Amino acid sequence: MRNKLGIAIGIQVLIMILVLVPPLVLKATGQVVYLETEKMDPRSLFRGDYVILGYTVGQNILSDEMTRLAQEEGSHVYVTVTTERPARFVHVSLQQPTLGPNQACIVGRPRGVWGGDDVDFPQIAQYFVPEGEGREIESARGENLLAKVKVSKKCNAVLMGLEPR
Amino acid sequence: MKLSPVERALEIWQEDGLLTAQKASELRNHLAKQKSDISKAGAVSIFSTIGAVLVGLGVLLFVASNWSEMGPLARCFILFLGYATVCTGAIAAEKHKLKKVSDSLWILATIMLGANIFHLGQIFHFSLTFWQGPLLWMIGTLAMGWARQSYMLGRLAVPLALLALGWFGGGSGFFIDDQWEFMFSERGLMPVFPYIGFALMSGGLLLRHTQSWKFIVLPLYEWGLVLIGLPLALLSVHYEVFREFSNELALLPSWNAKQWFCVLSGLTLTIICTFKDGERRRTVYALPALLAVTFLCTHLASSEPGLAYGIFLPLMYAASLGTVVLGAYRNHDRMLSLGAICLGLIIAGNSVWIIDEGSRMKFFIYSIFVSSLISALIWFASEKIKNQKVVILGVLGTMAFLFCAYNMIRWSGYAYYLGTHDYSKAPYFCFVLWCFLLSLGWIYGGLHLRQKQIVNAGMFIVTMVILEQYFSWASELLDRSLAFIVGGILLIVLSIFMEKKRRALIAQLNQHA
Repeated sequence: MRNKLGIAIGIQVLIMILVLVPPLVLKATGQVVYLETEKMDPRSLFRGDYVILGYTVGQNILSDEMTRLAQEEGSHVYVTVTTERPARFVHVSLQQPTLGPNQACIVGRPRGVWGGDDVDFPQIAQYFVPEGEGREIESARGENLLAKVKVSKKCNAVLMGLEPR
Repeated sequence: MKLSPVERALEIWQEDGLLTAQKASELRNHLAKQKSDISKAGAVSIFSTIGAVLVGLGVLLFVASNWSEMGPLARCFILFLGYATVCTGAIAAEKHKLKKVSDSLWILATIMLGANIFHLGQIFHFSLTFWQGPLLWMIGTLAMGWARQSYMLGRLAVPLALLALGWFGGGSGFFIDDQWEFMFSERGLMPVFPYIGFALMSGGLLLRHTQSWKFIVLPLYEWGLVLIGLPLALLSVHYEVFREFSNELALLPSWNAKQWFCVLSGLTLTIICTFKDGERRRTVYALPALLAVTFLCTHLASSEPGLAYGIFLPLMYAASLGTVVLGAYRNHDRMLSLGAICLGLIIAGNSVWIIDEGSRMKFFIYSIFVSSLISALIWFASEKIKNQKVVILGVLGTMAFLFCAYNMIRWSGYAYYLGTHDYSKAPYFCFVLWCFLLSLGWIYGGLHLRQKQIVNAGMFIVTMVILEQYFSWASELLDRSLAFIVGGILLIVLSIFMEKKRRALIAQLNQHA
């Protein structure tokens, strides 16, 4: 019983470390990108208040054909942006892109289940705040609020914080 | 009258001269005392578990709302420290032979694992895109369930698996709707729940001979039965509900790969178990067999819901009644319980619509009348027939009825908590009080009759009533996280008090013996 308990605790601790490591690695090694934010909405089932963030680089960039393919296959889309502040949209594709100089990419999904030409970035879509402060930040979102994001070469992203432009 | 196996054995031994009447009586009394002890231990288990759950939720909310001043490393340290503290407490409780408390703390540790997974995500604004979080939590829950052979952790692991499966492939991170997409969206699991139920039950049957995974077998049966039976019972409460859901089922040709996977794996596992298992007569198949017919009707319903509903409703009544009868006949408690709950849901659901929708007072009087009548029948049955099955059936039927009536009244416009609506508060208050008193009566009756099922059923309703009222009132008056923590601590203290009381009573009984 004691051995089994040790294994169980080990697995549980390992799981917590597993959750901890990828964002830490990304924070340490990723490239910084600043993205303009757009308005969305707050609340998490498990974690209290958060602000849902959409990004202007993801707006109106998908063709109908690309949306259809991504939704049918349940696949990701890859958005390439520049590394200047704020970032500018360069390219969108269904495969991981080859990046040029001063470029970064972020993995995303077509927004919602009804289609459309916007892209959401699930990995950086939620910014958690103390309870009750979500609405305040929400009202400040838009072109004047930039999200500081670190991205890896494989297009994974982690949200570092929000800054004024 | 049908005698219990113990009574029959005692009779046979007396007839064969192996046992005197006096010795048989002593054995009977000793067994009754043991049963009484088990009933009280059940209460400790219930309150300890709920206490652990509440403290877990409280910690989850407390951390979410009060740590904005800390840096990421300090936050991570606190999460790991909290987990380590609970594990240490569980080990210490076990060393002091407080098994119930120790079990509760291991459950709390596993709930904290879930909280920590999501909070670690929160620290780095990392969404886990929904399905990964429940999947990791489920793996940790299964590991601890396997180590402790805890049915409760098995019961937690199954819905976590359903969440992970439901969210798999979704989770764009866009708005709150995503959080319910595991059930209600086009790619949600709701239309395929009964098939998942088949898969769970079959999985339980396949695992039942393995010693290490025995803890998950019972939860798989239970969740399987619930996923098959309850959606069907809910569909039958009213024609409009049925029509709306049959529209969902009409989307069958456009089901996605995940939904087809659930359907095919459920049916495949069921077929494998039925034909390969060698025990196909097991009663556990009777419920799927009965309800499968009605489920097929729901699939046929999309073309002519009116006619289909006409067929569906009597079939559902027949299936539920058949399940109850089979459960009683085959001595299968869970089947009997689910059948009774389904039947209660159907009766309560249809009763609501049969009575004039506008007259809540009529419904209130009606529900009190029906629940009183069923309660009276329980007492009559328990006193005259002494048949445990009849008593359990009555209790569960009443419980299902009261639970439905309670919520129906709430949904139909009465205040969830007193004071915020313009509706008359007196009937609602009386009804809550009535549920509470009736449940206390059950607990008392269960102790008197020495039947732990009645005590547990009574405690379940008491707990539900207290919790619903507690969260309605306390969460308004106190900070939410504080309300959870205080409630959890109160329940844990209560469970420890009951454990001590139980030991004192046993010692007293031993002294008199």
